[in-house]
Amino acid sequence: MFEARLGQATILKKILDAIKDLLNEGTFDCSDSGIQLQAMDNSHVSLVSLTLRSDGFDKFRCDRNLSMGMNLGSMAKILKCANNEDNVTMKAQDNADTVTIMFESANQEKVSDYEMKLMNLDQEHLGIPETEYSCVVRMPAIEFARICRDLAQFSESVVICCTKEGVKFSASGDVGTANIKLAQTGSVDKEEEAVTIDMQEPVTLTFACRYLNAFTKATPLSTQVQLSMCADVPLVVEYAIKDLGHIRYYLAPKIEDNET
Amino acid sequence: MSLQQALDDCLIDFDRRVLVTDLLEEYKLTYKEAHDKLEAHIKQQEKSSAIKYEKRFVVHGTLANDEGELYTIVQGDAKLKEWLSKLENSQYHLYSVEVAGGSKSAAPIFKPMQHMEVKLAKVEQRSGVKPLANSVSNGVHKPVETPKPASIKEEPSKAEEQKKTPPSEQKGKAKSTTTTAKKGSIGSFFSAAPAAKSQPAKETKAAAAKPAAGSMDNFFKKQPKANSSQSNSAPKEASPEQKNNSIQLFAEESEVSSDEEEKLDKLRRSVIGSGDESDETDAQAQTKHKASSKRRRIVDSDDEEQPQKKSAEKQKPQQEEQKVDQAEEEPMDVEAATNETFLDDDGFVITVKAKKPKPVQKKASSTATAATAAAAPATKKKSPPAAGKSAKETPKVKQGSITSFFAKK
Repeated sequence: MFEARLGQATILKKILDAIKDLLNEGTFDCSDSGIQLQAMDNSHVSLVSLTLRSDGFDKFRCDRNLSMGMNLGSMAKILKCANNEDNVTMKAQDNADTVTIMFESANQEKVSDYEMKLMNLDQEHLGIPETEYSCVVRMPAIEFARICRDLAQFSESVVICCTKEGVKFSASGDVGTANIKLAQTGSVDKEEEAVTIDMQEPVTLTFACRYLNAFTKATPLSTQVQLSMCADVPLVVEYAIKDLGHIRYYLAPKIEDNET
Repeated sequence: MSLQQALDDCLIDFDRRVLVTDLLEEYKLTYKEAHDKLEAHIKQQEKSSAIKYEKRFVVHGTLANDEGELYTIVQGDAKLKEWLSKLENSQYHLYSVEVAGGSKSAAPIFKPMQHMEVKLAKVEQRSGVKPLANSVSNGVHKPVETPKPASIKEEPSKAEEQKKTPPSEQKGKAKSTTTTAKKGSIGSFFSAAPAAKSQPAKETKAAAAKPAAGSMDNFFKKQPKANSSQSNSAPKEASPEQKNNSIQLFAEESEVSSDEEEKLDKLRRSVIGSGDESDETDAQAQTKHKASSKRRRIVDSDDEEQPQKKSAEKQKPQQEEQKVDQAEEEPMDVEAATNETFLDDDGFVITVKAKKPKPVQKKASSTATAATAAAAPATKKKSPPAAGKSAKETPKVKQGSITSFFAKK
């Protein structure tokens, strides 16, 4: 038996919104430690890793490890039926082929439940090695979303250059070039507006704008985003989900094309 | 031309392996018709001229003990009988024929047919084969997808066509095959990643021109090349822009009498002038033309444009879709309009404002690759920023795959 209850449906809605553009389907691996989802996008360029700790749920019960393959589009549709303040409960029997998602209004006057068919997904799980990143940038998630959106107008690719002076996002296309530099903030009143850079050595990497923009769909989940970079290693874009876990996006860098 | 006629006229070279599927394709026949005609012809040839043919048959049947269906290709009558006896519910058809001990090597494309109906449908799409306007069903249930020349207005937009064309064809059209690799398939990353590190930067830049040619932008440039041979071979299908009515008039006449053609050629060499002169001469010529009711017409570019407009009005929605494509296409297909004014043998002034299509062979030749590469920047200027964007960047970098960084569990 699996049962997980969250106080606010809005969190689950935001989580689904953050991944459904990249992934059509995903397997939620439920264990007593929580719920995990790891999946690559169709083109195998990016990877989404979602971790929801069991202690972040209002109620969490998982008697047996359970893998629930779901169509994320369908799940998002169901979640749209919930009010933001509703309690949401996910339930599934062991070896069941359906999951029940139940929404309860705050005063318990309205209870709605939706049953969704589960899928048998043969998805590959990748082992993500522990990596010491040369540069770790923390910045406001909204700012990052804005930068990605703006630079996408110039080019398909964004070059992220991180030095001790700051982090520079550049794009160059037929329209022209765009450079956005962010310096490390000295002291800010609000922690969520801070830009901090932990740098071991400078890094310059090129990434596809399209994916970065897809990642920024997680912006509502967190005020800050963390970008971890290292040469020839995928970029990690991490959004913390308060008291619950995190969502990490891994994006393979663009590399020099010498095939021709 | 029918298959029978082609066989009678010895137009089919049996020194090379002749696939029946190719004949189906070429002559738009059903398999049975092609099989019967070919077999009759071979028998006749073997009787009359003692030529021996090496035949291959495609055999279909179910294996004994219900081990499933089997399609196989067998060589020679002896093996055919052997297989037919092995299989239950067996049937066979002629698959290929060649002269026994033929001097030339087998046909360069030799694809064993596994599922006849399906494969035939795919064979239809081979770029080397000219599509006929009225495509016969060919024994295939599905309507055959025939690639239309790019210049035809009725055709969907080029982008759509590119989607429809199988990747193998696209590879053939666009010389730089790296376009597909840019999307970062797993396999491509493994091979490409070390190369990226080892290769010097200068070489990358030098090679950078080619991937640019492989981009979407360049596809439009390359597309007319592939189709230009079709449009050349079937001038009736050519678009009004590419049609040269004036040239055709002369061409028709030249077919009538070769003497006249020679005279015209002489006159063409002695070009009087173009531009302003031609307007005056046009007026003169037109008055003379009316008076003498001469059959030859003076063709002006304005005359050409009017039917164009009419047709444009008819197909306006489609044309609007293709507008961008054509804008890019025209500089590739059509040379700058050159006015040719000359006196004919009767003393009439002929002005030809012609848009001459470039010779196709020139484009198709390998040397043309460099020419197109050089021409690419020129057209790039005209192309919208969005189209040029990808072309500019893709050569530099290639999208890596996440699986090449993380091992599977």
